[in-house]
Amino acid sequence: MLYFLCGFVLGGLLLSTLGWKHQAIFGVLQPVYWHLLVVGWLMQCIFGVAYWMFPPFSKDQPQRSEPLGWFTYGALNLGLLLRAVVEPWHSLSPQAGVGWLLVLSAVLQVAAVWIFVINTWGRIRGRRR
Amino acid sequence: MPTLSRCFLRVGLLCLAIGMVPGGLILVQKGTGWFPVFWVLLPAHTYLVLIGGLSQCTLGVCYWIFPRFDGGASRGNTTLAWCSYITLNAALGLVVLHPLLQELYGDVAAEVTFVSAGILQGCAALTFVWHIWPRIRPSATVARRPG
Repeated sequence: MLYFLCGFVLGGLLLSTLGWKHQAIFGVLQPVYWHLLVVGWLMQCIFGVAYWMFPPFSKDQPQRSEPLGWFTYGALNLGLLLRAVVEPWHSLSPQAGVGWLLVLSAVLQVAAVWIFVINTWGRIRGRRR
Repeated sequence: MPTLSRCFLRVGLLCLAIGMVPGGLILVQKGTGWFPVFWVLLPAHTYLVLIGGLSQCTLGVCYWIFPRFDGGASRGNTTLAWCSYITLNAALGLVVLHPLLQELYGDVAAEVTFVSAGILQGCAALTFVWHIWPRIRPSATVARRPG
């Protein structure tokens, strides 16, 4: 929900400054806006509800692997926050070392989703008889 | 969890996992400046994540969770929901195959592919809404509470 708030506020700012879109800063904030909403808010809400509500994996491990669940949470948010800070900064003022933080952001976000899929797959099942 | 929900969710999670890869590659390109060709993957990334992934996960959970009829025995017209699943994934398949079809058969084939995908995607949305609309109602337990 924090991403929802920040994403909508940022979107509102971008909308209200639409007349100034020739300013470079507003262009570089567009990808951040979209990813805060889609990845930070929508995807994370879906992950949270799935983690909570999907059928238990087993009696001993209802969420299958809690450490993997926490890894998903940490990696997704760290990757997204890195992106939110570094992407506009690197676009406006490219520097060699800073660009590699975007690579790290990419790895973290992709790993988070893959781990979530692996951890959740076994919980997509019918009722056990 | 009903079979159709499992289908929606499994395909949805696969699309999410696959769709994140081109997105990651584009972000790597932004950070390093290497391989500008990765930008051709942007439509695939957007479509796989939004339409293939997030939408299908949402539809799968909606089909599973929304109030049912006949004391929980029925989910209404399930044929509509299956049509939605089939047409949505057919559209997804066409969009994914679009670059190959364009390479093999030219621009006209590519245009037909996109038009077909658009129609199928619209049908998917229509049929799912048609299925789920009557299920947007108070659940039976709420309705039985004394007023």
